[in-house]
Amino acid sequence: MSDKPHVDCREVLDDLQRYLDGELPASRLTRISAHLAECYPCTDRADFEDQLRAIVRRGCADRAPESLVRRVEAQLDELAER
Amino acid sequence: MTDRGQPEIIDGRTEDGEIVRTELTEDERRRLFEEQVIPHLDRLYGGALRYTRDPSDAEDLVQETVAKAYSAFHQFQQGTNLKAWLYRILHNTYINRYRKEQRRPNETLQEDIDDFSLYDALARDEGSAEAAVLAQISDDEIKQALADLPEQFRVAVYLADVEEFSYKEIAEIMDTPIGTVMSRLHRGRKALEKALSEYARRRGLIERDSTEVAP
Repeated sequence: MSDKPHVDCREVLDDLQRYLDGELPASRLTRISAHLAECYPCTDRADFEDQLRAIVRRGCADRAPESLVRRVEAQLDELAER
Repeated sequence: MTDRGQPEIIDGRTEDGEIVRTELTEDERRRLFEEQVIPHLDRLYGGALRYTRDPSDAEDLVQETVAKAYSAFHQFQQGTNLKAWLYRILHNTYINRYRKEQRRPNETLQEDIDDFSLYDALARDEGSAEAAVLAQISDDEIKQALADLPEQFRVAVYLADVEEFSYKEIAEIMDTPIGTVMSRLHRGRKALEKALSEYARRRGLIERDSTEVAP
């Protein structure tokens, strides 16, 4: 585990959360992007983590029920008249 | 509800003569509020469902949030992030109203959760392409896995992954330091991965016990 590529992969994994969340400072961003462009295992991993976020987003795409929309509208009528 | 016919607020002045900061008439205020806030109802309801884990409580929470937002709307700085502002109100309303009702004894995650990786668990399982397994996990399973997380982790993951708030915004909504947000996200996602791996195993999408540690 002492050769350079492994160190880079470790670094990428450490930064992956912030990278995927769009929170990595610009100073590190270039380094990570460059590594991902040439390292298939890390790219695969990053895609996986990204997909994980996507299925959570998809799974929680709830819509407010009509009953709630009506309640809110009625409440606004009441509040606006006070 | 008092029925007084005409609204008594005219030209941006309240009944006691105080000038409303935005200097909007009540009608204008109502119109602006509806125009800007109603489009966020779906998102607020989705969040409220994750907070309360109960559809009826979620509706109450959204309604109370909207009422508070309406009366504080003059404090909202136009041009800043309205959804984050609304979520801050929703979070505080939830804390004040719902959480005090039940003290939760178990707000931690297993010690070893940091080491878990669904990717590695799937990679160890012969014949299952990692991404293909994720695609087969149902929305209900996702919801359940998220609902099973302790509140602080559940909310952090929801705010980041579904509402796509920045760490700074989540820190403000949850009233906690950014470092805490990052750690809740990290651990919460790991715990979610672990729960999903259990679903995948139960459904036969992966064969091996994903809790096994690689040799």
